[in-house]
Amino acid sequence: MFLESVILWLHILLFVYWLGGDLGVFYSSRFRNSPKYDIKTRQLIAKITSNIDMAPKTTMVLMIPIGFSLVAINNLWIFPNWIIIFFWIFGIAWLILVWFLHLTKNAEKKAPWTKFDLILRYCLCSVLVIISVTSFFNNYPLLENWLALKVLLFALTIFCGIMIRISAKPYILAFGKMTLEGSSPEIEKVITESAAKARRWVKAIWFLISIAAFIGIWKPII
Amino acid sequence: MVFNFHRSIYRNLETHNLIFTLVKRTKLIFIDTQIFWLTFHVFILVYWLGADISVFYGSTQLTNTKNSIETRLVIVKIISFVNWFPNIANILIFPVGIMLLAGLGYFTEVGKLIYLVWFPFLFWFFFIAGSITQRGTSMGKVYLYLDSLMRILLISFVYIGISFLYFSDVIFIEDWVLLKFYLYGYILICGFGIKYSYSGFAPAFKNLIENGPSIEIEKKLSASRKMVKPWVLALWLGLVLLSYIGISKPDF
Repeated sequence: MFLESVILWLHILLFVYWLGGDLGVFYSSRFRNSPKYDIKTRQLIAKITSNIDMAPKTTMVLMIPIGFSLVAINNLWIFPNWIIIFFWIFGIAWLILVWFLHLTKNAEKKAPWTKFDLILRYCLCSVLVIISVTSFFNNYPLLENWLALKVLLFALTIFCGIMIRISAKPYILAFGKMTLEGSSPEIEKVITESAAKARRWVKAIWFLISIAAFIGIWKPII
Repeated sequence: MVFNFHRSIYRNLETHNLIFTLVKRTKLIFIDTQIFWLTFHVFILVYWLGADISVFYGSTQLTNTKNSIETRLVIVKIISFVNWFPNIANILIFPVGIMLLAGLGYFTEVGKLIYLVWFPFLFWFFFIAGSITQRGTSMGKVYLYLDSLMRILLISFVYIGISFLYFSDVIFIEDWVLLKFYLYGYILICGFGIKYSYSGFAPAFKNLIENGPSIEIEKKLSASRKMVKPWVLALWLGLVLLSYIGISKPDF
């Protein structure tokens, strides 16, 4: 009972720091993208945004071991509970990778690991979608449909995260160019358009995790 | 009489079946209002505790002497906007908590009058909004005073009023509910601590904008931030504990 409360509490706190942390990141990005401010200011805002963004990034990764620990403790899957150890190993390893990518400034050193992280996200998204769909139709491996729906929503947030990376790629290149060569209407256009595309996916993540939270509280019989 | 009685049962059954069929055919799903209040309660924590990290981290950059005044002004803009969310969450958590308790069977004696609990908090919202938007003006001071008064009243209600209700058995209050009320009072006290330890920051920052950076101004800004830090950490601890107690519902 105590362990269940603690895990549920951590699960809620992860949601709190994911969605709540994202608010600051989202709002400050407006200033980072605005040509009204000088490059130094925009660079600093980018640094602040990137540091605050580690809260949502960390919580998303930890959602996997914590979320599935909650599944295990409530016997909501068909697996033996010791399997959860692997979820924790995976979660911690991925978290180390996420922090390594954040703290490493050397782009060349980072490049292969960034690619690996992206592939990992594609794989994880696919695996979670498969788990969700098989659970819906065969109650395997998850025993409740509301839980299968939550897993599907989580998989979709990972997909949205991938789409943010793809849509923000021109942004990152343009921002880098701006810091080296200064601002120009062409660069600003790329920044504005790319950021607008990425923002749509961010809003989709907010919507999906909010629905997931509501389903987690409601636990409907579907 | 007997006939009428049977007919009324028949009518009720008919109505019941009709509703049942409607539910089956249209697949209507009923959601308990308690679920909405609980979701609302969780979202309040999201926009209080979660949003606070941006405010806290942003404030560390305000005292960084390497940052230009323009940069710091942008940070102020970001902090000021994001800080609205913890401010509003601070107001909403109490009435939403009361609605949740009503759903658990508390305050049944007052019936629908329970919704009146929202009124003082609506006023509190205007006091806080006024104190922020009209900061530095005489009206702003009035709002600030009203905001402080509201906080004092709430702290008194939590520690004196709720304690009286609990210990005199006027209404049955579970231990974990009492603990949540006490923690809410503690959070309000931390809020006071933040307000007053940070009160020196705004004039020092104004001085920085008007006269440019100096060692004296930077010292004042830094000192103000150092003073507020323990209060913020204490408030976070209170919120984290508040959420744990809500989940575990301990009995002493």
